[in-house]
Amino acid sequence: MIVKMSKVRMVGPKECSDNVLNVIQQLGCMQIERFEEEIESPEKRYHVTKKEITEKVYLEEFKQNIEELLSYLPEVEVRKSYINPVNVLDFLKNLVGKHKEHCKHIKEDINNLKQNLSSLEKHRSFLTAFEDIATEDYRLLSSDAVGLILKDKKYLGTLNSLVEEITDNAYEVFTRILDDKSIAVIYVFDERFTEPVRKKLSMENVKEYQFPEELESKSFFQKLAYLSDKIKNLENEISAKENELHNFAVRWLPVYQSVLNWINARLKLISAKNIIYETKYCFVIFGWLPSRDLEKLKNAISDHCLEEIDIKELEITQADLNRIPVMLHNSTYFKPFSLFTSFLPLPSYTSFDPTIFIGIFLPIFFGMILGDMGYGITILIISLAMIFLSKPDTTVSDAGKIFSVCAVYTIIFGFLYGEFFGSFGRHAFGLEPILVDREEEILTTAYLAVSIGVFHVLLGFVLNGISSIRSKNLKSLGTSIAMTVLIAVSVVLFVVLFKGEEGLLSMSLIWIIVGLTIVLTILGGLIAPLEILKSMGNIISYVRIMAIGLASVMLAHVTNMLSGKVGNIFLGIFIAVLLHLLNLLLGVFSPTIHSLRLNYVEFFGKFLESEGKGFKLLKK
Amino acid sequence: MEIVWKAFAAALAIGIPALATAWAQSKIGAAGAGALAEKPELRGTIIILVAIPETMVILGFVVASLLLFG
Repeated sequence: MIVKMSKVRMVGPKECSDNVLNVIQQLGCMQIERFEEEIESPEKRYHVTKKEITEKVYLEEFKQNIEELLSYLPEVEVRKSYINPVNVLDFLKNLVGKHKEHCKHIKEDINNLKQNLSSLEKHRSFLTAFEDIATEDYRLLSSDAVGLILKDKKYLGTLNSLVEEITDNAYEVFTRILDDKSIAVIYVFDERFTEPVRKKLSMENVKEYQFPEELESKSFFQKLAYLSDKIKNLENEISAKENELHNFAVRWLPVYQSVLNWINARLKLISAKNIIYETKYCFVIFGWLPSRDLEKLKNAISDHCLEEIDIKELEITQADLNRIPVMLHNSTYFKPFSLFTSFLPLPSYTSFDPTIFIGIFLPIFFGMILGDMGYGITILIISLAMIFLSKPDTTVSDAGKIFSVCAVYTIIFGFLYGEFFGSFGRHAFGLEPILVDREEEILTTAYLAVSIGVFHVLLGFVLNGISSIRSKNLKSLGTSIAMTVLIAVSVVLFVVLFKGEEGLLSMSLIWIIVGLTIVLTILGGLIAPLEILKSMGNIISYVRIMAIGLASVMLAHVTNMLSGKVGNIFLGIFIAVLLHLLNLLLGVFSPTIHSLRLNYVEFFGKFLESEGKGFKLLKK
Repeated sequence: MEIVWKAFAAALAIGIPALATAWAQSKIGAAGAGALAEKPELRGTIIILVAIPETMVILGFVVASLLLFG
C-alpha cells in the first residue's frame, strides 16, 4: 500500500541547523524539499559559507583518493571498525597518498608478472604438446625443427608442399591441437635445410613460432625445464605480492571503508543544506516524511536537546498532490508479489499500490485457469521446497511464496471443477464437479469467466472514482461513475436480449446507454465513447480464463487417454508422468502470463496513474 | 450440411485471428527481444506488449464457441 505522507516544516535557531540535519540523517525517514510557495519575505535560500565549500572540496578529494586506493585492493571480508572516523580523518588524509602509491605499485607489479606468466605458459603449452617426439634421440642430435601455429588446418597442405620441395621429401611433420583450438605444427628435417626452409617461409609471409631470446640456444628439454622453473618462480612471486595486498586490505580496509562511509554521509548533509532556507537568525526546513514517523522525528529532536525546534505538520494542498513522494509498504503476504510490480512505474500518491491487487487477483485467476488438485499439490510441494531450500528474501524464495498461494487456489478450484490430474480423479476417486464441468460445459465456463471480467473491470472504474475523489478531480469522477453505470446497464441489456425478452425494459436500457454516452462525450470529449468499446473488449478478454483452462483440461484428458491405451502399466505410467509434467510446465507458465496481463492491461488500465515520484531520503 | 458450414465457419473464426495473432506476436517478440538486450528493465512492458494481440484469438475463440455450442 501507499504510505500516508506528511508535509512538515521545521524552524529553529540557525546554529542548530547542522544538528537537526544530523538527526534527520540518522533517522533516515525524511525527504528534504524546497517549497518556494511556503516561504515568507525574510526567508531566503541557505547561503553556503566559505568554510562549508572548503570542507566539501577537502572531503571530495579525500573520497577520490580513498576510492582509488580501494580499487587496488582485493575483496576481502573485513571486520567492523570501531574507530571514530572523525578522530583519524587528518591522520588518514596524510597517509592515503602513500598507501595509494604503495598499492598501485604492487598492483602494477602483479599485472606485469601475470602478463609474463601468460606468455611463458603459451610457450610451455606449445612445447608440452610435442614432448613425446622430443624423446626420440636422433631428432635431438642431428635434426633441426621449425615450429608454427596455424589457425586453420586448410593451410597445412600448402606448407607441406613448400617444405617437401626444399628438403626433397626428407622431413617429418607433427601436428597437435592446442587448448585454444589452434594447430601447432613442427617440421623436423636435417640441419642443412634449416636456413632454406626459414627463408622460404619468410618469403611466403609465414611466421615461425618464436621463443624468447634466452631460450633460443637451449635444447627442447632444457627449454621445457627452464620454462617450468621460471613459471613456478613467477607464480610464487605473484602469490607473495597478492598476499602483501591481502594483508594490507585486512589491516586498513575497515578503517578506510568506515571513513569513506562517513565522508559520503557528510557530503550528503552538506548538499542537503542547499535545499534549506534561512533568515538572519533562523533556519527553515521543509520536507516529506511518512505520517507514522512524525512522532519519531519529534522525539528524536527532543532527545538531542533541541527543544527550541518547532516542527509543524502543514496542510497538503491541491498543488502538492503531484509532488508528494511515493513510498510503498506491504504486509508479509503481499511483499513477494512486488516481484511482478517492481518493473512498473511508481503509482501516483492519489492512486493505488498495484502490488495489493496482484496479490489478490493473480492467485485467483491462476487457480481458475489451472484448477486441478493434482497439479496444485505438485506446485505446492515444489514451491514449498523453493521457500525452504533458498535464502530468505531472494527472488527464488519470493517466487516460491507466490506459487504456493497460487497452488492453494489451484487446489480449491480443482476441487470445485472435480479435477485431479484431469479426469483421473473421476475414474480413480469418483470426484464430481461442484461448480462447473470444464470439459463439457464450455459456454457456462465462458459466462463465468466473462462475469468475473465484468466485476474486475467495474472494480477498476470504482477505484478510478476513489482516486479521482482523492485528487479532487471532479471530471474524472463523473467519467468513472458514468462508465461504471454504463457497463452495468450494458451487461443487464445483454442478459435481457440473450433471454429474448425484448420490449419496454430493453428499450429503456438502450436509452440509458445513449444518455450516458452523451454524458461521457461531454465529460471526456469525442474519444470517450471509444472507451466504452475498449472496456467491452476488455471484459470479453477474460474469456481467456476459460480458453486456457480448457486447453489444460484437454491436454490432461489426452494424457490420461493415451497412457490408458498403451497396454503396458509401466509404459503407461511413464507416458502419463511425462505428459502431465509437460502440461504442468505449460500450466504454470501460461496462467501466470495471462493472469498478469489481465491485471496489467484490463484492470490497471482503468485506474492506475503511474506518475509517482520516488522517496529520496536523507540518510547515511 | 449445415453442421459442415458451422464447423467451417468456426474454423475460420479461430484460424484467421490465430494467424493474425501469431504474425503480430512474431513482430512484437522480435522487437521486444532487441529492446530487452539494450534495456532489461523493460521486461514487464514487453511481456504486456507480447500478450496484447492474444485478444484477437480469444475473440475468435468466443465466436467459434458460440457458432458450435451457442
